[in-house]
Amino acid sequence: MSNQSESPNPTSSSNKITLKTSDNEVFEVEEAVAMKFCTVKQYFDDENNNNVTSGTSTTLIPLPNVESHPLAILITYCKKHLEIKANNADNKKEMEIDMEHYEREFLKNVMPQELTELILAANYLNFKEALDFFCRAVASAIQNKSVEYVRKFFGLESDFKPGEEEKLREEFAWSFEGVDED
Amino acid sequence: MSESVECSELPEELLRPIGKGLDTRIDILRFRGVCKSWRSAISSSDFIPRFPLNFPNPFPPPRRRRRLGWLAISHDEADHLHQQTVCLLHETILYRLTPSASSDKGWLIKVEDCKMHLLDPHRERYESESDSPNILPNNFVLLDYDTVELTRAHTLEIQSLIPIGRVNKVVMFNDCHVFVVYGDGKLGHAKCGDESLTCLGEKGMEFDDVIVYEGQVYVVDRFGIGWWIKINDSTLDLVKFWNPCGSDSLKTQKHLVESDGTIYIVERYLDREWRGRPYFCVICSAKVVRMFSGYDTGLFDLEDGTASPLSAFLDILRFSSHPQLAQE
Repeated sequence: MSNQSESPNPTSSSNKITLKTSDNEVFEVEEAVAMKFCTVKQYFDDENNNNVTSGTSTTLIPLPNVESHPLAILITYCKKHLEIKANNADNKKEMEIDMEHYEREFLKNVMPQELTELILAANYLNFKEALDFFCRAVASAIQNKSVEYVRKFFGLESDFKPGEEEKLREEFAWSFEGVDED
Repeated sequence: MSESVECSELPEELLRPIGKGLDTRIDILRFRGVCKSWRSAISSSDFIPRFPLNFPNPFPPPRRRRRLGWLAISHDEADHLHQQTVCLLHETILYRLTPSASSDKGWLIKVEDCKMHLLDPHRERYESESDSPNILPNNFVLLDYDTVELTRAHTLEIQSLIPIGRVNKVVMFNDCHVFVVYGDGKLGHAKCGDESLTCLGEKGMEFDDVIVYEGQVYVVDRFGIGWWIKINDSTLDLVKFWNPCGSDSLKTQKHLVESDGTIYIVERYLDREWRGRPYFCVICSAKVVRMFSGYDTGLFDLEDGTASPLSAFLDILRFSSHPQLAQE
């Protein structure tokens, strides 16, 4: 079982939390990272309240709605997010610039098809910053693109009846024209 | 009962924030055209432009600072005043109502931003006054009329504390592109969401008029050359479509006029200093040109060269109007 988010420093004093995805991969992440996922935080808090004897947090948190692939990406994003925040604790402007730069680079390595699963995963984990970021990324990816392109982008098929589709096109003829070629 | 199949993996509550990230109405419309669940996720009424729209100041502070000595204010103060400049884009649409039952008379409806005025074309006066817009006479049933959009026009209202230049003409294209002809002949362009205007055409080009005609934008310059503005994805090109034949064309001001599906370049002879003064002209038939200049309205017969007052021609007039006329 690969553990993509293992800390390089085994003597680190920070607590580890183990997450188990729907496809049975196990991720061990630092508490600070896991706590950005509000769903995990909630589970973790509840668990700690219930379990009085747990001095060591060896809790394994199941994530039945998240697959390993988007989770690995989200953990990477989250770590960097925390790192940038820590590096620019006293300079908000600087932080935003760094973050923007990172996000731009980040998107270069994300396939458009991955965005949907990332949004769903971020939504399930209730990781707000990532959710906002991916929604913005999708919006700018479909900006000035044809309807056909957007459908292909998301692997969608039109479910309009032929008459409805025609009416739609007539009504907004120009919104189907003059778009980026892709 | 309904067999609506989710075409999208993304639930509605996640489609909404994505839609909110789109800038232009066109993108919203496209978004809504993808499939049913996308269509229901965001409503177009939230995004249809609500006039008046905020528009970038067409007269931003100059980059290279000139002396403002005559204003007796510092640059900082001038910048501050510039920031307070408010610019609003208004839209006016004129509809013609033709009665389905033959005996009733026709009407014009003018929708200014969101306010509706009923006009009697034979009197050219507002039937419903501006203090009670949107209210039609009791016996007036809109369904009894065939409605045709005659024309739409856009104007800029600029509230500025410091002197600014003049704007001669504004057109909006596809709810997205706005073209502005300045008093000095420059041609500015802004897309929805832009924070400033960019100038079109090569340096030194001066334009007299711009028009939206059959889904395209055309401009005419001071030499009478007609240009088609080719709108690409990210750039705009000026493509020449008409070369003038006259020789003293610089002495006239050019107007682009659409009438009965044809576009005309109308030349007006004038003193240079009067350039830009609102003047509108509607060609009603091959014979007659209707002119507005300031407050005067008259008809000019192209065949015998005579001008007559409007009342002599009521039977042949096809009505059109221009909102700037009302502002004069």
